[in-house]
Amino acid sequence: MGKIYKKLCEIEMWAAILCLICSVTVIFIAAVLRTVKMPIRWGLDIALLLFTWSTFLGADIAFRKKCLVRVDMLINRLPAKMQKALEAVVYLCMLSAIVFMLVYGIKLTVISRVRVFNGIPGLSYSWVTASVPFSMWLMLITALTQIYETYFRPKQKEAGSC
Amino acid sequence: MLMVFIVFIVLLFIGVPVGFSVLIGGAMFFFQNSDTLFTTIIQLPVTQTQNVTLLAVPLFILAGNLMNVSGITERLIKLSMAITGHMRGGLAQVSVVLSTLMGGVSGSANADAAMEARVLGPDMLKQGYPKGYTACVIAFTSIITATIPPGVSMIMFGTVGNVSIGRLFTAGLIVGIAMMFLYMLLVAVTARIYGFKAVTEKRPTFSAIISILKETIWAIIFPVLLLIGIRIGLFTPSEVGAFACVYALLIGFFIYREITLSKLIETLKQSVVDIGAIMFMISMSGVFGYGIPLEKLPQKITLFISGLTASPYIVMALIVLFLALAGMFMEGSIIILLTTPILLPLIQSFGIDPIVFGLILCTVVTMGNMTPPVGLAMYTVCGILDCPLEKYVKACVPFVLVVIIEAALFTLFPKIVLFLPNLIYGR
Repeated sequence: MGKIYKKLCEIEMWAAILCLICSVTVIFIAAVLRTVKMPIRWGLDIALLLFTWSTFLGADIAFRKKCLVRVDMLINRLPAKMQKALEAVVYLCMLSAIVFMLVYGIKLTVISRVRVFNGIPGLSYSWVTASVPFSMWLMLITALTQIYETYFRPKQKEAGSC
Repeated sequence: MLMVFIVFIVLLFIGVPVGFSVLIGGAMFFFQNSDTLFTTIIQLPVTQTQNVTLLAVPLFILAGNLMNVSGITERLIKLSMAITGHMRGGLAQVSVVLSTLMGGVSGSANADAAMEARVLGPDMLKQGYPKGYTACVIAFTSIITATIPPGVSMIMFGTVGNVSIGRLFTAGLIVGIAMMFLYMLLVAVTARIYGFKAVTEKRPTFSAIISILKETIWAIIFPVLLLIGIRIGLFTPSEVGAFACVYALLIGFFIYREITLSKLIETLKQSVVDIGAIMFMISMSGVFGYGIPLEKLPQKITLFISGLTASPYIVMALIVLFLALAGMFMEGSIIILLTTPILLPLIQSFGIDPIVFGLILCTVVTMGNMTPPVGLAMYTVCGILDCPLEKYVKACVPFVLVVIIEAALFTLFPKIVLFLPNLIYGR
């Protein structure tokens, strides 16, 4: 199980990197082509689509590495037991937000199936929208793994922080 | 909307990541207003990421990370050493100048502070600079990095407030340089008081400086190229971001030859995490802002404030105070995203120029990274230098004052800031 999970994380990282690289390349090439009076109309749209995916995949990676920005001033000053209790509240808040976003994200993706993506005929807007429920699905896994590791398997070595 | 703010603040303080706090807080508006669609809550973050100008933010983050491994940093350190090493308090002056030079290649104050703490910090301590002072010089001067173009916070302000990014960048160059001189002055005065020494005995020869300039020219001309590129319409701001990435790669691979494939992969991995973390906040802030125009919040606040005072200076002073306080607890970019839609109409109704306001906003909010109790740059620098927070806090007073003096200066004499943008772009 652990091995497969690690592999999936690796794939996620590379997918995010690939989206980012393609996004940069497309924007750059589109800008150059426009300068030489050969504009490509779909360039920016493709770049934005890839970029949205890179963002939401990256958000999950940042979440897993505990790199999401947060104010830990209060939580750090509490005694260990209280810290764990408050952390549980934090996880509960995040879980409910994730599940909510997942459910309504799927709904929106289904609704926007008929909406055509800007400028690129034949490509449904759902390809953009789907990035949210997909990343929420990943975040759900991440959150559950983190909860498991914090509360049910203590004394685990902490993964490197940011 | 009150509920939105309360939920957001409470969640933020109990330690829910900023992105989630903004999302849950913003969602409250939808729960309270039954005529809204829940699917809009999903649509709003997606729309944020489909914004062409905001695309510049991740691109400049990537470009900054690439520049850092391209070998530019080491050369800029050499250059700043050559220019200011012979002055009294040489290493502190190097920190000021280096932050300014780094501003042109990276847009992140935190990254600059961390780098300088590692590179300059140990030497400064060895030469007998007090720990608190060393940490403050390194942390606070990195504010300059944020205002020299390209600056991520300026892009965010420009996008949310619909202000020309080209003009903001041009004005940022002036503000950054003005700030460099103010901090150099402060270091010169404090160096006299503490009796710091210079690093090098003699002034470097003219030809020595020229030879280092030749090596670093690629980094120094970059912000200028960028301004020209935007001005003549060759590039839009987000295209400039992509251009910056390619530029850094070319320099790293072909001119300095310091980027290797493994370094590149490492940088890409780090960038994906950096971008994911910041863009998650930015995209979720779309949910938060949804109710602001619907409830006519800016108009209400403007009406309230104009009932209190008619002086633009007092309003500006209040805003700076508010931003400085907010910056103590919140991440800078999120403050810009959340407060710009409310504050910009307010200051415009008092006749303050949006460019001037934007630069003051970015400066003060970036300072939030250096002020306790929550400050990323402060923790990073103090962590690296092993500096106790009390010492840091005591030493930071004059550095905070400089930022406040600067904000006052630009409010009173907006022409200093607007001179160059007006010259290049016309009125």
